[in-house]
Amino acid sequence: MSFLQNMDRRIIYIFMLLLVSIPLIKPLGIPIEINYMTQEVYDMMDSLQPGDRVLFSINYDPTSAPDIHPQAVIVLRHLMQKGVKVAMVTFSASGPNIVEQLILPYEQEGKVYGEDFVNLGFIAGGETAIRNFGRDIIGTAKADYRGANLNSIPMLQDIVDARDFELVYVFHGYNPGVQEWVRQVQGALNINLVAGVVMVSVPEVMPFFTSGQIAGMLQGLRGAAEYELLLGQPGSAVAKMDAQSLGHLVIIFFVIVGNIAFFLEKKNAKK
Amino acid sequence: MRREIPIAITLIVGLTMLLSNFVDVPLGSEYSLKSLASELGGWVIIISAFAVGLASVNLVRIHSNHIRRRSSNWIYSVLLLVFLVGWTVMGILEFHNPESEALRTFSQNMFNSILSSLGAAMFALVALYLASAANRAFRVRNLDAAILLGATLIMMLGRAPVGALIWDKFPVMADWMLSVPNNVGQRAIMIGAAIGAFATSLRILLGIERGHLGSE
Amino acid sequence: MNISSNPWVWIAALGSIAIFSSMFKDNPFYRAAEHIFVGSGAGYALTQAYRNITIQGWRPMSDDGRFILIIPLILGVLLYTRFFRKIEWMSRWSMSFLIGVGTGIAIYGVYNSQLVAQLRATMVPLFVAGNAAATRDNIILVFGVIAVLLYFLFTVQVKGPVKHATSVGRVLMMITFGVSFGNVVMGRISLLLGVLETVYGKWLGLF
Repeated sequence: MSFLQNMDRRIIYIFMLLLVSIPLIKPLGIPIEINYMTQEVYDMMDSLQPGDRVLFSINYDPTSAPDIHPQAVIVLRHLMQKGVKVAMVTFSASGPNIVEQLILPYEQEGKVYGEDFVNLGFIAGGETAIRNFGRDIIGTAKADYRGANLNSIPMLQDIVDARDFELVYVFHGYNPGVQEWVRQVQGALNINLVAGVVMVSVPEVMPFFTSGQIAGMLQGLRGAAEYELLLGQPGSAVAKMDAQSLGHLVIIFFVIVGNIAFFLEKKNAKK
Repeated sequence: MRREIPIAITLIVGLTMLLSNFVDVPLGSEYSLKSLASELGGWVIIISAFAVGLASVNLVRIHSNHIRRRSSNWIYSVLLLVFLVGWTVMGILEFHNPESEALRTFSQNMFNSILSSLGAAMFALVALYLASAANRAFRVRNLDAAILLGATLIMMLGRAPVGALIWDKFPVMADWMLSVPNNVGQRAIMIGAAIGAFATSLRILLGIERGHLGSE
Repeated sequence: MNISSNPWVWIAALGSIAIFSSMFKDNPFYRAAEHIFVGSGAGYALTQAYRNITIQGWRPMSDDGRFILIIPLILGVLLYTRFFRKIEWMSRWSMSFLIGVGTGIAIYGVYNSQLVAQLRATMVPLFVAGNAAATRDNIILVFGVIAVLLYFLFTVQVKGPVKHATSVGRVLMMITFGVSFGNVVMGRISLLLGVLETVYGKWLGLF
């Protein structure tokens, strides 16, 4: 009984690693249902027209990237396929190179930097920077990540503030993120705000969604997997869902085992 | 005066930012309250940029001391400083040579293979620690713990694709729990936190709260 | 198995394995990887700081003649006086500026978007004709928010019917925490899968 309660941690780690590794190499093919929130976000992106301009705010870093970067990849792919132009800014210090990771494949495909997308780099200052940026895009960013003057970027012509974008998509890994955009820009300028959120932050962002302050929300890696299916291009996010399922079952198993041992030990102690 | 001037700065600057949301008063021929607020916001961006470098400078101080004193494991401090300085030099060179494709590619590869991978690996360990903690610490000792565990299990089974295979109601229950009871709790926390933040912000502006000024 | 020949992939994979080796025992490979990561992160942050200072402060001042920007540049430098005990009081000027602006914008933003908007969203009809589920959810929403807010009232002694309301509030909080924990588990497993994709997929070529 005490073995079950106080199992060597390393056994648990190996068990977990093995069980999530197997479906990565040999997928099980568990069907994935599409959540209504993902469908709404997909429909919003699909309704955009070629030439429309969208702003991505990349607010995550490498430590949370595996949960949310697949969302940015697939949503950007959808928009690039539709001919929508995407400006990307970040308020996280590691963000600029994450943006470069996103746009490099499209440059190699023949899309043009400055016309189809632009990397506005990192702007320090958190919530204050978001406030200033939302009200004066060019004046706050001043230059793009590759050193060009923003007045020379074709896709940013006539852009003054966040309202000049069809929508603003905030990829939220940690603060500053969705809450800061809602507080400082969405409320004041009444912009169309969509959120892609790491799973950890989904519960705390939910009130903004139900109150209508954000128009749509994608949830973590699962949201990316569902979006890949809706786009008809299943990729790495879908491939990881089987492993995700087994990972959950492993955790549930250990919770149940630990509690069974706990109750049996309590019962023995009473005797 | 060492405390009075900072308190005055906080009050003047804070009031400017707050009032600019409600009124726009001309301040001379060039500025108005709104444009002053925007200017001050721009200053925050510059000062915050210096703050971003603070932690790095502190690291250099601490690890230089380790090396100088030959503390235990000082060789790791050398490794840290080599990468810190190397990365800084590379980044500044890239900034001043934006047309250099080679430098940009090298820097991106370094980011992908070192920062990105090692950072992700560090936080991925938490998943394994969670499994261990679930076995040792998640005990149903009372009704509150039982409710918490029940909600957790429904959420986990509702969000994983396998949950729908076990029982097709799990995803529905998880969605409902997220959009109703969770919404209730989070919204109440948000409202309470907003009132608290409001009160604390007023205290800071009026100089009653001085924790940010440090000790005498 | 199709092992990658890209040296960058090898660095990423071996670094990830070095970090994971700490699960079993603290070892020199883990220590080295940890220090490389911290040093790289700090160097990267310094680079971003340099970029921002140059683009936001130095260039507008030197190229466009905006000499007033000398003030934030000096305030920024003053932040570093905290490393010197005799003059660390100067860093308070910079901190108080940052805090002043932060609280000024926070008051309005929090009041407008978190307090008013959320209260407004809670004012929903308690009865929705022809929709029992919406009626049920709205009743839970309105009375639930009140119950949870009452639960956090610690300044007065709670007794009588109000105590039952706080019990309901506590149950709702437990559900909220349970939902949060469930999402944390899912999020952390996603991080693990990302690393395994690097090792099994990109490095070993197993999928």
